[in-house]
Amino acid sequence: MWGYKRLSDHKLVEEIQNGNQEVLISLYKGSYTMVRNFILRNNGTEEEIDDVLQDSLIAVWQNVNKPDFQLKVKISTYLMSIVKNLWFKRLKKKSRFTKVDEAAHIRASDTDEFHFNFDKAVIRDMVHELDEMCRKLLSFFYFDGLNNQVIADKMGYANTDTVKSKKYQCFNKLKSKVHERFTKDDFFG
Amino acid sequence: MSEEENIHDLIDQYLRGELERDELDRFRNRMRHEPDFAREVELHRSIVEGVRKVREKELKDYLRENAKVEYIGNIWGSRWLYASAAIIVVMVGMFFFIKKLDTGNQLAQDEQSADEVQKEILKPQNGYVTKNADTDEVNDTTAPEMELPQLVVVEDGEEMTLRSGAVSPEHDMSKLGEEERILEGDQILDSMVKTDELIASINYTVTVISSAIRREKDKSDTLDAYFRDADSKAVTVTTTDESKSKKGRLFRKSDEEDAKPESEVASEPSSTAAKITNRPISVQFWSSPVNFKGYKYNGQTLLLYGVDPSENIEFKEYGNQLYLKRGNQYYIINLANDYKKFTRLTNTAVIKELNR
Repeated sequence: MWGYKRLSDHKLVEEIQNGNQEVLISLYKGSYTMVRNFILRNNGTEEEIDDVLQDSLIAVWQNVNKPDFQLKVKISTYLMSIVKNLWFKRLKKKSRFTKVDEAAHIRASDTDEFHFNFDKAVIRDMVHELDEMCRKLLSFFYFDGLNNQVIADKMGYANTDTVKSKKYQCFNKLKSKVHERFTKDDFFG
Repeated sequence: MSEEENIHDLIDQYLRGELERDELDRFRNRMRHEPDFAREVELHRSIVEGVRKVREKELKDYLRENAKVEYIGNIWGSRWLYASAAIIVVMVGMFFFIKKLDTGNQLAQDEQSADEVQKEILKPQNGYVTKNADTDEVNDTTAPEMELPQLVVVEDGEEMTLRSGAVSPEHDMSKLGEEERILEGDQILDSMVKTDELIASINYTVTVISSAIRREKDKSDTLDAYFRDADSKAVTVTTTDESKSKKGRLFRKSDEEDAKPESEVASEPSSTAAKITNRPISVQFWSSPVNFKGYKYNGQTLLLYGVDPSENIEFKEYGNQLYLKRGNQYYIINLANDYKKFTRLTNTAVIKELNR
Protein backbone atom coordinates (compact mmCIF):
# COMPACT_ATOMS: atom_id res chain seq x y z
CA MET A 1 0.00 0.00 0.00
CA TRP A 2 1.41 3.31 -0.93
CA GLY A 3 1.06 6.34 1.17
CA TYR A 4 -1.50 9.01 0.58
CA LYS A 5 -1.06 10.33 -2.91
CA ARG A 6 -3.20 12.55 -5.00
CA LEU A 7 -4.11 10.36 -7.94
CA SER A 8 -5.42 11.59 -11.22
CA ASP A 9 -9.05 10.81 -11.89
CA HIS A 10 -8.11 8.46 -14.64
CA LYS A 11 -5.71 6.59 -12.45
CA LEU A 12 -8.26 6.47 -9.68
CA VAL A 13 -10.85 4.84 -11.90
CA GLU A 14 -8.29 2.34 -13.07
CA GLU A 15 -7.43 1.39 -9.55
CA ILE A 16 -11.07 0.95 -8.61
CA GLN A 17 -11.67 -1.24 -11.61
CA ASN A 18 -8.69 -3.30 -10.60
CA GLY A 19 -10.26 -3.86 -7.27
CA ASN A 20 -7.59 -1.99 -5.30
CA GLN A 21 -9.59 -0.83 -2.38
CA GLU A 22 -6.68 1.16 -0.94
CA VAL A 23 -7.54 3.83 -3.46
CA LEU A 24 -10.71 4.47 -1.49
CA ILE A 25 -8.55 5.68 1.37
CA SER A 26 -6.92 8.15 -0.93
CA LEU A 27 -10.27 9.31 -2.16
CA TYR A 28 -11.54 9.58 1.38
CA LYS A 29 -8.71 11.81 2.47
CA GLY A 30 -8.94 13.96 -0.59
CA SER A 31 -12.64 14.59 -0.27
CA TYR A 32 -13.03 14.79 3.48
CA THR A 33 -12.95 18.56 3.80
CA MET A 34 -15.43 19.11 1.02
CA VAL A 35 -17.82 16.52 2.38
CA ARG A 36 -17.42 17.85 5.90
CA ASN A 37 -18.27 21.36 4.83
CA PHE A 38 -21.30 20.19 2.96
CA ILE A 39 -22.70 18.09 5.77
CA LEU A 40 -22.09 20.64 8.49
CA ARG A 41 -23.78 23.29 6.40
CA ASN A 42 -26.75 21.08 5.83
CA ASN A 43 -27.89 20.26 9.33
CA GLY A 44 -25.36 17.54 9.86
CA THR A 45 -22.96 16.75 12.68
CA GLU A 46 -19.33 15.68 12.79
CA GLU A 47 -20.31 12.14 13.70
CA GLU A 48 -22.37 11.73 10.55
CA ILE A 49 -19.60 12.70 8.19
CA ASP A 50 -17.71 9.44 8.32
CA ASP A 51 -20.77 7.30 7.86
CA VAL A 52 -22.05 9.26 4.90
CA LEU A 53 -18.65 9.44 3.31
CA GLN A 54 -18.09 5.71 3.70
CA ASP A 55 -21.44 4.86 2.16
CA SER A 56 -20.73 7.24 -0.69
CA LEU A 57 -17.33 5.74 -1.33
CA ILE A 58 -18.83 2.28 -1.51
CA ALA A 59 -21.40 3.53 -3.97
CA VAL A 60 -18.63 5.02 -6.07
CA TRP A 61 -16.76 1.75 -5.81
CA GLN A 62 -19.68 -0.20 -7.16
CA ASN A 63 -20.71 2.25 -9.83
CA VAL A 64 -17.27 2.65 -11.28
CA ASN A 65 -17.12 -1.10 -11.64
CA LYS A 66 -20.34 -1.33 -13.60
CA PRO A 67 -19.69 -2.41 -17.16
CA ASP A 68 -21.02 0.73 -18.82
CA PHE A 69 -19.36 3.21 -16.49
CA GLN A 70 -17.89 6.31 -18.03
CA LEU A 71 -16.44 9.15 -16.06
CA LYS A 72 -17.76 12.40 -17.48
CA VAL A 73 -17.02 14.70 -14.62
CA LYS A 74 -14.28 14.93 -12.03
CA ILE A 75 -14.25 12.12 -9.52
CA SER A 76 -14.68 14.65 -6.74
CA THR A 77 -17.75 16.07 -8.45
CA TYR A 78 -19.11 12.61 -8.95
CA LEU A 79 -18.49 11.67 -5.37
CA MET A 80 -20.12 14.87 -4.12
CA SER A 81 -23.24 14.22 -6.14
CA ILE A 82 -23.49 10.80 -4.51
CA VAL A 83 -22.88 12.35 -1.10
CA LYS A 84 -25.59 14.91 -1.65
CA ASN A 85 -28.05 12.29 -2.80
CA LEU A 86 -27.37 10.07 0.13
CA TRP A 87 -27.52 12.98 2.49
CA PHE A 88 -30.87 14.28 1.39
CA LYS A 89 -32.30 10.80 1.52
CA ARG A 90 -31.09 10.61 5.10
CA LEU A 91 -32.60 13.94 5.95
CA LYS A 92 -35.91 12.84 4.53
CA LYS A 93 -35.81 9.73 6.63
CA LYS A 94 -34.99 11.76 9.71
CA SER A 95 -37.87 14.08 9.26
CA ARG A 96 -40.47 11.37 8.93
CA PHE A 97 -42.57 10.62 11.94
CA THR A 98 -43.33 7.03 11.12
CA LYS A 99 -40.79 4.53 10.06
CA VAL A 100 -40.90 4.10 6.37
CA ASP A 101 -41.68 0.69 5.11
CA GLU A 102 -38.18 -0.26 4.07
CA ALA A 103 -39.39 -2.72 1.55
CA ALA A 104 -41.07 0.03 -0.39
CA HIS A 105 -37.86 1.25 -1.94
CA ILE A 106 -36.57 -2.20 -2.72
CA ARG A 107 -36.82 -3.00 -6.36
CA ALA A 108 -40.16 -4.60 -6.88
CA SER A 109 -39.60 -8.25 -7.20
CA ASP A 110 -41.49 -10.23 -9.72
CA THR A 111 -41.51 -13.05 -7.31
CA ASP A 112 -43.30 -11.06 -4.66
CA GLU A 113 -46.54 -12.60 -5.68
CA PHE A 114 -45.13 -15.90 -4.52
CA HIS A 115 -44.33 -14.58 -1.08
CA PHE A 116 -40.97 -16.14 -0.75
CA ASN A 117 -39.21 -15.13 2.33
CA PHE A 118 -35.72 -16.37 2.82
CA ASP A 119 -34.07 -15.60 6.06
CA LYS A 120 -31.38 -13.11 5.12
CA ALA A 121 -29.51 -13.52 8.36
CA VAL A 122 -29.02 -17.22 7.81
CA ILE A 123 -27.69 -16.61 4.35
CA ARG A 124 -25.22 -14.09 5.65
CA ASP A 125 -24.04 -16.60 8.22
CA MET A 126 -23.51 -19.11 5.53
CA VAL A 127 -21.48 -16.66 3.53
CA HIS A 128 -19.24 -16.20 6.53
CA GLU A 129 -18.84 -19.93 6.80
CA LEU A 130 -17.73 -20.19 3.23
CA ASP A 131 -14.07 -20.69 2.51
CA GLU A 132 -12.08 -17.59 1.77
CA MET A 133 -11.42 -18.23 -1.89
CA CYS A 134 -15.07 -18.75 -2.68
CA ARG A 135 -16.13 -15.79 -0.62
CA LYS A 136 -13.60 -13.53 -2.33
CA LEU A 137 -14.59 -14.75 -5.74
CA LEU A 138 -18.28 -14.33 -5.15
CA SER A 139 -17.67 -10.93 -3.57
CA PHE A 140 -15.62 -9.67 -6.48
CA PHE A 141 -18.24 -10.84 -8.84
CA TYR A 142 -21.42 -9.84 -7.13
CA PHE A 143 -20.42 -6.83 -5.11
CA ASP A 144 -17.34 -5.22 -6.49
CA GLY A 145 -18.54 -5.95 -9.98
CA LEU A 146 -15.04 -6.52 -11.26
CA ASN A 147 -14.86 -7.92 -14.71
CA ASN A 148 -13.79 -11.49 -15.17
CA GLN A 149 -10.35 -10.74 -16.45
CA VAL A 150 -9.54 -8.62 -13.45
CA ILE A 151 -10.83 -11.36 -11.21
CA ALA A 152 -8.67 -13.88 -13.01
CA ASP A 153 -5.64 -11.69 -12.41
CA LYS A 154 -6.48 -11.11 -8.80
CA MET A 155 -7.25 -14.71 -7.99
CA GLY A 156 -4.48 -16.15 -10.11
CA TYR A 157 -6.72 -18.03 -12.49
CA ALA A 158 -5.60 -18.96 -15.92
CA ASN A 159 -8.43 -17.32 -17.81
CA THR A 160 -11.93 -15.97 -17.59
CA ASP A 161 -13.49 -19.38 -18.25
CA THR A 162 -11.88 -20.64 -15.11
CA VAL A 163 -13.37 -17.70 -13.29
CA LYS A 164 -16.82 -18.50 -14.55
CA SER A 165 -16.75 -22.18 -13.70
CA LYS A 166 -15.18 -21.58 -10.32
CA LYS A 167 -17.74 -18.97 -9.53
CA TYR A 168 -20.53 -21.36 -10.43
CA GLN A 169 -19.05 -23.99 -8.20
CA CYS A 170 -18.74 -21.59 -5.27
CA PHE A 171 -22.26 -20.37 -5.73
CA ASN A 172 -23.64 -23.91 -5.59
CA LYS A 173 -21.58 -24.63 -2.56
CA LEU A 174 -23.20 -21.71 -0.83
CA LYS A 175 -26.61 -22.68 -2.04
CA SER A 176 -26.37 -26.21 -0.66
CA LYS A 177 -25.18 -24.80 2.66
CA VAL A 178 -28.23 -22.61 2.72
CA HIS A 179 -30.42 -25.54 1.77
CA GLU A 180 -29.03 -27.54 4.65
CA ARG A 181 -30.06 -24.86 7.05
CA PHE A 182 -33.49 -24.39 5.68
CA THR A 183 -35.93 -27.19 5.89
CA LYS A 184 -38.39 -27.50 3.18
CA ASP A 185 -40.92 -25.76 5.36
CA ASP A 186 -38.75 -22.71 5.80
CA PHE A 187 -38.94 -21.97 2.16
CA PHE A 188 -42.50 -21.13 2.61
CA GLY A 189 -42.06 -19.08 5.73
CA MET B 1 -21.59 -25.46 -20.03
CA SER B 2 -24.41 -27.40 -18.52
CA GLU B 3 -28.06 -26.47 -18.69
CA GLU B 4 -28.03 -25.58 -15.06
CA GLU B 5 -25.12 -23.33 -15.50
CA ASN B 6 -26.90 -21.61 -18.34
CA ILE B 7 -29.88 -20.99 -16.15
CA HIS B 8 -27.56 -19.71 -13.47
CA ASP B 9 -26.08 -17.19 -15.85
CA LEU B 10 -29.50 -16.24 -17.10
CA ILE B 11 -30.71 -15.50 -13.62
CA ASP B 12 -27.60 -13.43 -13.03
CA GLN B 13 -28.37 -11.43 -16.09
CA TYR B 14 -31.97 -11.02 -15.07
CA LEU B 15 -31.02 -9.78 -11.65
CA ARG B 16 -28.62 -7.30 -13.19
CA GLY B 17 -31.32 -6.08 -15.54
CA GLU B 18 -29.38 -7.15 -18.57
CA LEU B 19 -32.10 -9.13 -20.28
CA GLU B 20 -33.47 -7.77 -23.47
CA ARG B 21 -37.16 -7.08 -23.84
CA ASP B 22 -38.30 -10.39 -25.29
CA GLU B 23 -35.87 -12.42 -23.16
CA LEU B 24 -37.21 -10.64 -20.14
CA ASP B 25 -40.80 -11.43 -21.05
CA ARG B 26 -40.01 -15.07 -21.51
CA PHE B 27 -38.21 -15.15 -18.23
CA ARG B 28 -41.08 -13.56 -16.38
CA ASN B 29 -43.51 -15.91 -18.02
CA ARG B 30 -41.54 -18.85 -16.89
CA MET B 31 -41.53 -17.57 -13.34
CA ARG B 32 -45.28 -17.17 -13.40
CA HIS B 33 -45.84 -20.62 -14.73
CA GLU B 34 -43.12 -22.52 -12.89
CA PRO B 35 -43.17 -21.96 -9.13
CA ASP B 36 -40.01 -23.97 -8.66
CA PHE B 37 -38.31 -21.69 -11.10
CA ALA B 38 -39.63 -18.67 -9.29
CA ARG B 39 -38.31 -20.01 -6.03
CA GLU B 40 -35.01 -20.72 -7.62
CA VAL B 41 -34.78 -17.18 -8.87
CA GLU B 42 -35.71 -15.80 -5.47
CA LEU B 43 -33.18 -17.99 -3.70
CA HIS B 44 -30.56 -16.89 -6.17
CA ARG B 45 -31.41 -13.29 -5.50
CA SER B 46 -31.23 -13.79 -1.73
CA ILE B 47 -27.87 -15.47 -1.94
CA VAL B 48 -26.46 -12.75 -4.11
CA GLU B 49 -27.79 -10.18 -1.69
CA GLY B 50 -26.24 -12.05 1.22
CA VAL B 51 -22.87 -12.09 -0.48
CA ARG B 52 -23.13 -8.40 -1.21
CA LYS B 53 -24.15 -7.44 2.28
CA VAL B 54 -21.25 -9.31 3.79
CA ARG B 55 -18.80 -7.80 1.39
CA GLU B 56 -20.23 -4.34 1.87
CA LYS B 57 -19.80 -4.60 5.60
CA GLU B 58 -16.26 -5.82 5.12
CA LEU B 59 -15.43 -2.84 2.95
CA LYS B 60 -17.08 -0.45 5.34
CA ASP B 61 -15.08 -1.87 8.22
CA TYR B 62 -11.97 -1.49 6.15
CA LEU B 63 -12.76 2.17 5.56
CA ARG B 64 -13.64 2.74 9.16
CA GLU B 65 -10.31 1.29 10.19
CA ASN B 66 -8.10 2.99 7.65
CA ALA B 67 -9.87 6.00 6.28
CA LYS B 68 -9.16 8.38 9.08
CA VAL B 69 -8.37 11.99 8.68
CA GLU B 70 -6.24 13.75 11.23
CA TYR B 71 -8.45 16.68 10.64
CA ILE B 72 -6.66 19.72 11.80
CA GLY B 73 -9.95 21.48 12.15
CA ASN B 74 -10.83 19.27 15.04
CA ILE B 75 -8.56 21.03 17.43
CA TRP B 76 -10.67 20.06 20.35
CA GLY B 77 -10.06 16.40 19.77
CA SER B 78 -8.38 14.79 22.76
CA ARG B 79 -5.12 14.10 20.96
CA TRP B 80 -4.75 17.71 20.03
CA LEU B 81 -5.60 18.84 23.53
CA TYR B 82 -2.99 16.60 25.07
CA ALA B 83 -0.42 17.64 22.52
CA SER B 84 -1.13 21.32 23.04
CA ALA B 85 -1.08 20.93 26.80
CA ALA B 86 2.24 19.15 26.63
CA ILE B 87 3.73 21.81 24.41
CA ILE B 88 2.53 24.59 26.67
CA VAL B 89 3.96 22.89 29.72
CA VAL B 90 7.30 22.49 28.00
CA MET B 91 7.31 26.11 26.88
CA VAL B 92 6.43 27.38 30.32
CA GLY B 93 9.09 25.18 31.79
CA MET B 94 11.67 26.54 29.41
CA PHE B 95 10.60 30.08 30.10
CA PHE B 96 11.08 29.66 33.80
CA PHE B 97 14.32 27.88 33.32
CA ILE B 98 15.72 30.66 31.20
CA LYS B 99 14.40 33.24 33.58
CA LYS B 100 16.11 31.46 36.41
CA LEU B 101 19.39 31.64 34.59
CA ASP B 102 18.96 35.36 34.05
CA THR B 103 17.93 36.03 37.62
CA GLY B 104 20.95 34.11 38.74
CA ASN B 105 23.18 36.52 36.91
CA GLN B 106 21.38 39.57 38.16
CA LEU B 107 21.48 38.48 41.75
CA ALA B 108 25.16 37.98 41.42
CA GLN B 109 25.47 41.51 40.16
CA ASP B 110 23.33 43.06 42.84
CA GLU B 111 25.39 41.46 45.47
CA GLN B 112 28.47 43.15 44.31
CA SER B 113 29.29 46.40 45.95
CA ALA B 114 28.87 49.57 44.05
CA ASP B 115 32.57 49.79 43.53
CA GLU B 116 32.81 46.41 42.00
CA VAL B 117 29.96 47.09 39.69
CA GLN B 118 31.63 50.23 38.68
CA LYS B 119 34.83 48.42 38.07
CA GLU B 120 33.26 45.88 35.81
CA ILE B 121 31.30 48.27 33.75
CA LEU B 122 33.97 50.81 33.45
CA LYS B 123 36.26 48.37 31.79
CA PRO B 124 36.59 49.55 28.29
CA GLN B 125 38.78 47.59 26.06
CA ASN B 126 41.92 49.41 26.80
CA GLY B 127 41.71 49.97 30.50
CA TYR B 128 39.45 50.82 33.31
CA VAL B 129 38.62 53.46 35.78
CA THR B 130 38.23 52.81 39.41
CA LYS B 131 37.56 54.98 42.30
CA ASN B 132 38.64 54.29 45.73
CA ALA B 133 35.73 54.99 48.01
CA ASP B 134 37.90 55.96 50.86
CA THR B 135 40.47 58.15 49.28
CA ASP B 136 38.58 59.56 46.35
CA GLU B 137 41.45 58.54 44.31
CA VAL B 138 40.66 57.93 40.75
CA ASN B 139 42.63 55.40 38.89
CA ASP B 140 42.19 55.78 35.23
CA THR B 141 44.00 53.52 32.88
CA THR B 142 41.92 54.28 29.88
CA ALA B 143 43.56 55.60 26.84
CA PRO B 144 42.94 59.27 26.29
CA GLU B 145 41.12 58.68 23.07
CA MET B 146 38.62 56.49 24.85
CA GLU B 147 35.27 57.83 23.93
CA LEU B 148 33.00 55.79 26.06
CA PRO B 149 31.59 57.97 28.76
CA GLN B 150 32.02 56.70 32.20
CA LEU B 151 28.88 56.18 34.15
CA VAL B 152 29.11 56.97 37.72
CA VAL B 153 27.53 55.55 40.76
CA VAL B 154 27.90 58.20 43.32
CA GLU B 155 27.66 57.35 46.92
CA ASP B 156 26.19 59.34 49.70
CA GLY B 157 26.83 62.95 49.14
CA GLU B 158 29.99 62.33 47.30
CA GLU B 159 30.49 63.38 43.82
CA MET B 160 32.79 62.27 41.24
CA THR B 161 33.94 63.56 38.01
CA LEU B 162 35.38 61.54 35.27
CA ARG B 163 36.77 62.34 31.98
CA SER B 164 35.16 61.59 28.75
CA GLY B 165 36.92 62.43 25.60
CA ALA B 166 33.98 62.53 23.26
CA VAL B 167 32.79 66.02 23.92
CA SER B 168 34.17 69.33 22.80
CA PRO B 169 36.01 71.32 25.41
CA GLU B 170 33.49 74.16 25.68
CA HIS B 171 31.08 71.96 27.41
CA ASP B 172 31.89 71.52 30.96
CA MET B 173 32.29 67.87 31.41
CA SER B 174 32.90 68.21 35.05
CA LYS B 175 29.24 68.37 35.45
CA LEU B 176 28.93 64.92 34.02
CA GLY B 177 29.20 63.19 37.31
CA GLU B 178 26.39 65.11 38.87
CA GLU B 179 23.98 64.80 36.04
CA GLU B 180 24.36 61.14 35.99
CA ARG B 181 23.25 60.89 39.51
CA ILE B 182 19.88 61.37 38.07
CA LEU B 183 20.04 57.86 36.87
CA GLU B 184 19.24 55.89 39.90
CA GLY B 185 19.95 52.46 41.14
CA ASP B 186 18.86 49.88 38.72
CA GLN B 187 18.54 52.38 35.95
CA ILE B 188 22.24 52.71 36.00
CA LEU B 189 22.60 49.01 35.73
CA ASP B 190 20.13 48.94 32.92
CA SER B 191 21.93 51.63 30.99
CA MET B 192 25.20 49.96 31.59
CA VAL B 193 23.99 46.71 30.32
CA LYS B 194 22.41 48.32 27.30
CA THR B 195 25.26 50.78 26.80
CA ASP B 196 23.35 53.93 26.06
CA GLU B 197 25.87 56.48 25.19
CA LEU B 198 26.05 60.02 26.41
CA ILE B 199 27.22 62.21 23.62
CA ALA B 200 27.14 65.63 25.15
CA SER B 201 25.80 67.67 27.97
CA ILE B 202 24.87 71.22 27.23
CA ASN B 203 23.12 73.86 29.23
CA TYR B 204 20.37 75.75 27.61
CA THR B 205 18.16 78.57 28.61
CA VAL B 206 14.46 78.18 28.59
CA THR B 207 12.59 81.18 27.41
CA VAL B 208 9.54 81.41 29.54
CA ILE B 209 6.77 83.21 27.81
CA SER B 210 3.85 84.63 29.63
CA SER B 211 0.99 86.00 27.66
CA ALA B 212 0.67 89.71 28.18
CA ILE B 213 -3.05 89.82 27.46
CA ARG B 214 -3.84 87.64 30.35
CA ARG B 215 -1.69 89.70 32.57
CA GLU B 216 -3.74 92.79 32.16
CA LYS B 217 -6.89 91.10 33.17
CA ASP B 218 -5.54 89.40 36.15
CA LYS B 219 -3.71 91.50 38.59
CA SER B 220 -2.65 88.53 40.60
CA ASP B 221 -0.61 87.35 37.68
CA THR B 222 1.55 90.36 37.98
CA LEU B 223 2.11 89.53 41.55
CA ASP B 224 2.79 85.96 40.61
CA ALA B 225 5.35 87.12 38.16
CA TYR B 226 7.07 89.03 40.87
CA PHE B 227 7.05 86.08 43.16
CA ARG B 228 8.15 83.78 40.45
CA ASP B 229 11.23 85.74 39.94
CA ALA B 230 11.80 85.88 43.60
CA ASP B 231 11.03 82.22 43.88
CA SER B 232 13.46 81.18 41.28
CA LYS B 233 16.19 82.71 43.27
CA ALA B 234 14.81 81.22 46.39
CA VAL B 235 14.47 77.92 44.72
CA THR B 236 18.02 78.10 43.72
CA VAL B 237 19.02 78.47 47.25
CA THR B 238 16.85 75.70 48.52
CA THR B 239 17.96 73.41 45.82
CA THR B 240 21.50 73.91 46.80
CA ASP B 241 20.69 73.20 50.36
CA GLU B 242 18.61 70.22 49.55
CA SER B 243 21.19 68.76 47.35
CA LYS B 244 23.55 68.53 50.17
CA SER B 245 21.17 66.64 52.33
CA LYS B 246 19.65 64.30 49.77
CA LYS B 247 21.54 61.23 48.94
CA GLY B 248 22.75 61.28 45.45
CA ARG B 249 19.63 62.77 44.00
CA LEU B 250 19.02 65.73 41.84
CA PHE B 251 22.33 67.12 42.68
CA ARG B 252 23.36 70.51 41.54
CA LYS B 253 26.62 72.10 42.24
CA SER B 254 25.83 75.20 44.22
CA ASP B 255 28.51 77.29 42.56
CA GLU B 256 27.24 76.68 39.16
CA GLU B 257 23.73 77.61 40.12
CA ASP B 258 24.68 81.05 41.34
CA ALA B 259 27.05 81.62 38.52
CA LYS B 260 24.40 81.28 35.96
CA PRO B 261 23.05 84.55 34.89
CA GLU B 262 19.36 84.84 35.10
CA SER B 263 18.42 87.45 32.72
CA GLU B 264 15.08 88.83 33.27
CA VAL B 265 13.39 90.95 30.84
CA ALA B 266 10.99 92.62 33.15
CA SER B 267 9.04 94.67 30.80
CA GLU B 268 5.98 96.63 31.77
CA PRO B 269 2.89 94.58 31.47
CA SER B 270 1.30 95.91 28.38
CA SER B 271 -1.22 94.64 26.04
CA THR B 272 1.20 93.73 23.37
CA ALA B 273 4.48 92.82 25.02
CA ALA B 274 4.82 89.42 26.51
CA LYS B 275 6.69 88.94 29.67
CA ILE B 276 9.69 86.84 29.10
CA THR B 277 11.88 85.26 31.67
CA ASN B 278 14.58 82.74 31.44
CA ARG B 279 15.54 79.77 33.34
CA PRO B 280 18.28 77.25 32.86
CA ILE B 281 17.87 73.77 31.71
CA SER B 282 20.51 71.16 31.61
CA VAL B 283 20.33 68.98 28.57
CA GLN B 284 22.08 65.75 27.88
CA PHE B 285 22.28 64.24 24.45
CA TRP B 286 22.18 60.48 24.48
CA SER B 287 22.14 57.80 21.91
CA SER B 288 20.74 54.38 22.52
CA PRO B 289 21.71 51.18 20.76
CA VAL B 290 18.11 50.65 19.83
CA ASN B 291 17.92 54.14 18.32
CA PHE B 292 15.27 55.32 20.68
CA LYS B 293 14.12 58.82 19.91
CA GLY B 294 12.63 60.57 22.86
CA TYR B 295 13.34 62.25 26.11
CA LYS B 296 13.24 62.01 29.87
CA TYR B 297 12.69 65.07 31.92
CA ASN B 298 12.70 65.24 35.65
CA GLY B 299 12.29 68.94 35.95
CA GLN B 300 15.99 69.70 36.20
CA THR B 301 17.72 67.74 33.53
CA LEU B 302 16.44 66.78 30.20
CA LEU B 303 17.81 63.69 28.55
CA LEU B 304 17.40 63.77 24.81
CA TYR B 305 17.69 60.64 22.74
CA GLY B 306 18.11 60.62 19.03
CA VAL B 307 18.92 64.32 18.86
CA ASP B 308 22.23 65.52 17.62
CA PRO B 309 23.99 67.97 19.92
CA SER B 310 24.94 70.04 16.95
CA GLU B 311 21.33 70.68 16.09
CA ASN B 312 20.03 74.14 16.61
CA ILE B 313 17.43 73.70 19.30
CA GLU B 314 15.64 76.02 21.62
CA PHE B 315 13.56 75.66 24.71
CA LYS B 316 10.51 77.65 25.44
CA GLU B 317 8.00 77.49 28.18
CA TYR B 318 4.46 78.66 27.95
CA GLY B 319 1.62 78.10 30.32
CA ASN B 320 3.80 75.98 32.56
CA GLN B 321 4.55 73.65 29.70
CA LEU B 322 8.01 73.14 28.38
CA TYR B 323 8.55 72.93 24.67
CA LEU B 324 11.51 71.93 22.62
CA LYS B 325 11.93 73.78 19.37
CA ARG B 326 13.67 71.86 16.72
CA GLY B 327 13.72 73.37 13.29
CA ASN B 328 10.21 74.61 12.80
CA GLN B 329 8.56 72.13 15.08
CA TYR B 330 7.74 72.34 18.73
CA TYR B 331 7.77 69.23 20.84
CA ILE B 332 6.06 68.85 24.13
CA ILE B 333 8.33 68.04 27.04
CA ASN B 334 6.57 66.62 30.05
CA LEU B 335 7.80 65.77 33.47
CA ALA B 336 7.90 62.04 33.84
CA ASN B 337 9.55 59.19 35.60
CA ASP B 338 10.25 57.35 32.42
CA TYR B 339 11.25 57.79 28.86
CA LYS B 340 8.83 59.42 26.50
CA LYS B 341 8.67 59.69 22.76
CA PHE B 342 8.64 63.07 21.12
CA THR B 343 5.16 64.44 20.55
CA ARG B 344 4.69 67.36 18.27
CA LEU B 345 2.75 70.38 19.33
CA THR B 346 -0.17 70.90 17.01
CA ASN B 347 -2.12 73.59 18.81
CA THR B 348 -1.73 76.56 16.47
CA ALA B 349 -2.67 79.11 19.14
CA VAL B 350 0.12 77.97 21.36
CA ILE B 351 2.54 77.83 18.47
CA LYS B 352 1.67 81.40 17.70
CA GLU B 353 2.43 82.44 21.23
CA LEU B 354 5.69 80.58 21.22
CA ASN B 355 6.76 82.16 18.02
CA ARG B 356 6.35 85.66 19.26
